[in-house]
Amino acid sequence: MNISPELLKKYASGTCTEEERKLVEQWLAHDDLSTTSPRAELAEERTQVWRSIIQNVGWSETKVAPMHRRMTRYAAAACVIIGVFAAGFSTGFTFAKPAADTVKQTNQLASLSGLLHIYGGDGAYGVVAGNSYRIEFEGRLGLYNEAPHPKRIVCGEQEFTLKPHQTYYLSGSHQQASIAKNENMGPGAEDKEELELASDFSVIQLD
Amino acid sequence: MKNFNAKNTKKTSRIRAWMVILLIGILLVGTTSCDNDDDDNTVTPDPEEPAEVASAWVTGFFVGTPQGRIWYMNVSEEIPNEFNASEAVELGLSKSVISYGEHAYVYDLDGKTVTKWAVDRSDLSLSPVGIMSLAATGFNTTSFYPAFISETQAFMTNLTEGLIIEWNPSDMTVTQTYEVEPLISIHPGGRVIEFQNYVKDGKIFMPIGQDGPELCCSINTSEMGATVAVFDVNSKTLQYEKDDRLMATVFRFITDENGDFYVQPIDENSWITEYFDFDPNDAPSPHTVLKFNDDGTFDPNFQLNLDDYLDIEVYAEAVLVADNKIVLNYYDSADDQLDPSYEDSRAIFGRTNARTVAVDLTSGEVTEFTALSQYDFVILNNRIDGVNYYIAFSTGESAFDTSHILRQNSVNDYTQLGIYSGTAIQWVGKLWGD
Repeated sequence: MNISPELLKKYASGTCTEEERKLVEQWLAHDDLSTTSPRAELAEERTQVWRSIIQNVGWSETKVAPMHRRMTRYAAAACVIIGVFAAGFSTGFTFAKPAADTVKQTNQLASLSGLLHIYGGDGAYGVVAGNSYRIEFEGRLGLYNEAPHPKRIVCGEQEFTLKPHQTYYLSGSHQQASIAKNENMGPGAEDKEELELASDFSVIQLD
Repeated sequence: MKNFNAKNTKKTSRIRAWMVILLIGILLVGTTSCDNDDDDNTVTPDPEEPAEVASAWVTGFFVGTPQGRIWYMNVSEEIPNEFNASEAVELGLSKSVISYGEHAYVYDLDGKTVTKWAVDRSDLSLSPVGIMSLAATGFNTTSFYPAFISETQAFMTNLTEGLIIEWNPSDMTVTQTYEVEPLISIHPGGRVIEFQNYVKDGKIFMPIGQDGPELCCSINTSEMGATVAVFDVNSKTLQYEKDDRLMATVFRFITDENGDFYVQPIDENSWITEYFDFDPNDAPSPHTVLKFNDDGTFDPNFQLNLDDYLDIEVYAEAVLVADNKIVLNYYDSADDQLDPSYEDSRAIFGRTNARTVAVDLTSGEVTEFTALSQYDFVILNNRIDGVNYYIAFSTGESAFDTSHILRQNSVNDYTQLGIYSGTAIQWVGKLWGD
């Protein structure tokens, strides 16, 4: 495989061709431990797969690859992460998440006009499709309207409109909420205090 | 020029008149046709209306990358014979997929959120339609196996912390949390895990496993009996049923063709007897099969100690219970033995000589079971419309080389639905269809 830094940058920015994308993903997923790793290590990998299936849990251990491969792949992975992060930053949104934790557009993902991104405390994050939502929460949420059109949110008896491509803080609770644009972006953003986010919320699409 | 124009105008008027008459005629014929249609009670299909897909299956799987395991979700009309990650929805790291009714639910282990996904009936595309954060509830386990009672009622538990969460999958809200008696792990400082649950007659049965053992070799011997948590959905009460005939480490139920529950041991029981510091004579049996009644109690009249009939080095997994026999995978002491080092203990699963046998539940008679002999491990994943679906692994060159989905046709007949290279399947579920 000929995986160059340029190709990884293209992959990270989503500008590579279908063939290039497959090449990178095959390379990331490729694993020929059998030729280089000790038997016990191989066995451990198999055991982990087997056990995770039994338990139906999503373990997050990092696979252990041979050191020479690890170094090159870590470097490449770093490029990918930095690239995607940079792409996200260019949108001006400051609640950016690592690339691997975002839902990517694929053939099976419905053609959406733009998702609502929700950010709670303790790393809670998610996206919901549609244009109208009911939100229950306590504390403070970060919201980002990815769509090129407004979205409507309903909190108890209150309704708010999220403008296109804008980020907001939603504060209080669903019984008494207030909304404010997120000022922590653009020039001087680094001087502004990042507000603490709430960790509990529920969002359901209404349309 | 003027005359010519006048003549031409007259001609044009005549043509227009004929056209109007023709148009009225067409409209009349059309109206008459519509009337006839109504009389016949037939409905003309709207060519703009897309046809519904007859069935939909959801599959959760992951691939290994240097960043960790990346989860994907795939929806297709039938279980596909291969998965292409680029055609599935990429969910990211540390996820778990499950489905109930026509929706899929994805748990984010790091963010402690559950996202609800809807599937379009015409093109099977996926959309996230709701999300619920659980971090503030104290739900912080790595195991996501909610018990669905209905479209509007489900439960999740964290019994290490003594927590039960009731939630509404319809609007993705937490409706109630319950504080219950916490469970103590047999591993000092460890956690208990509710790997699976079974809903029957208004009760949720949760066989209790142990998270670990990560550290050799101490153990809370007083907690060693097998435990099942029983939650009554109506009274919202929880009780722990404990039986000292089976060791307490990870186990789960397996059901027979009548839906009766059998409690089976699992691999870590074998390790505890090998590496941990205690007198095995003072401990429960590591490899006994028990039965659990629908009323939420262990059956005191049934037990099958597999060590009386098999020379088990490591017990792996039961495949099924049918015809009064339990079919199981295990490593026989005559074939292979655990490594002396505890750290290398799990290496035994990299070997290719696991045996699959059928053991009679009454007599203990052991017979060879060959229907699945081409696979190393076969694990029941889901029971759908009365049919068992299994994940099978073949030993290859790499842990992620090959897995399969099998559909059981009968006790001795299985259809391999596909060979999946480079992926490990976590969930198979049906969203709709026959």
